Amino acid sequence: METYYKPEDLPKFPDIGQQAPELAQKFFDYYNAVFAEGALTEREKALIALSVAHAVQCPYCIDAFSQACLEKGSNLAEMTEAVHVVTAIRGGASLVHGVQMRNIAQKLSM
Amino acid sequence: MDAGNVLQKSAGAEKQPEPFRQTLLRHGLCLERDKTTILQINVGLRCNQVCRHCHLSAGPGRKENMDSATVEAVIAYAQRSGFEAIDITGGAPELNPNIEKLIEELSPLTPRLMFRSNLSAISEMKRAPLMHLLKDKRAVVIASFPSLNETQADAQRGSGIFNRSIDALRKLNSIGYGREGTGLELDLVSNPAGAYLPSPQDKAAKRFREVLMKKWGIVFNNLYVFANVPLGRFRTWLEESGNLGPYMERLAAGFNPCAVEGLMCRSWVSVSWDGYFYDCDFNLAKGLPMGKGKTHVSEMPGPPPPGSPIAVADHCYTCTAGAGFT
Repeated sequence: METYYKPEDLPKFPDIGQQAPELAQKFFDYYNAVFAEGALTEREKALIALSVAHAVQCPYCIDAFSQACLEKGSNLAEMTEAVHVVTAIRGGASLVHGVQMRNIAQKLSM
Repeated sequence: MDAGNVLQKSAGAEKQPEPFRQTLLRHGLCLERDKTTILQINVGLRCNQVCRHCHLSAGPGRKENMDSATVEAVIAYAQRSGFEAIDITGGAPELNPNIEKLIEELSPLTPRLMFRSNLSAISEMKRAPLMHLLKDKRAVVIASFPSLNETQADAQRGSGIFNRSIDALRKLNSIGYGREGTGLELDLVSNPAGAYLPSPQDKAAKRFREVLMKKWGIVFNNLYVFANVPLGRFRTWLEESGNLGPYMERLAAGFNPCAVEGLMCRSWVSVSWDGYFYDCDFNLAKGLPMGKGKTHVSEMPGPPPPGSPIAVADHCYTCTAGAGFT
């Protein structure tokens, strides 16, 4: 196996249902319902998905939602800002745990 | 397993789509003319812009422009045919020296005269009289406005074009175009700035309306979204950027058999700058004439009859993807 991630694997995603079709169908139905227009527009949901795709570092999702964002009418500036939002939260989540580090260090220190 | 729209990019596998004609046959469909009610006139390939998505490869260096003899022949054809609408396009139609004559003489011949503009050409000071002529003749202005984002728009259409387009829309609004109660219709056309499909039309229209009003105080009547057609300069870009295969597959994967009935080529006919008939402007770009051979406008007794076959090729997937291209 020369690489773990291959673009040609993405169309195989529905094959995941072969061993558990009912569960997969429930997931796909739910997934499609989530991305339908509701209180948030499809464009806004695609931007959220794009940013989360970066947080979970899923190359399939980054590929799919970069295209989805463009097709929903977003532009590169908006998509870049969305990635910064998730980066800020992800970085901030690390940094805010520094409070725990400080609590522990202070408790142990004279 | 029906995965619906889950990870939509999955439709873009690297394989050649089946020929469009074969797809029609597989669905038991036959593409032929309904009643032809709209005449589209392509007055030439000269343009002040060099848009990267242009299916006609129009630009300042192109010499093809409708001459006065062909203009006369087209006017005579419109007179004997009685079209419900006439659509003037290019290139940039503003650059044709006979454009005023065409507008003047076509406007009494149809209840709906449409004029396609790239906005930058019409916004030049020297063309103020043309803008007022369009107003006087109650012509519908259909303006290219691909994106609300300057970077995206300029990447497609050229540096500085976005701001010139905003200026032109403001000028059109200032003389009444797009404003309620004036009867002066201003429609926008948005094409994606790359190898991807456009947003759903209703959602894009809502967003364009909100943003254009909020940022620039601009109003318009309708927004149409069109996918880019893989011909001309756009095809060259697709090839050079390695996007042609995935883009064609994406268009083919979006084939909607229900869209065929409402395709514009069933009710439109296109006349080229040199006076020959095509089933649409894309077949014109492809050099795929209407019928079995080239027919000149001076030889045509009236609209092509219902039931006439429509020439197809793989670029037709553009118009059948999703809701269709009408």
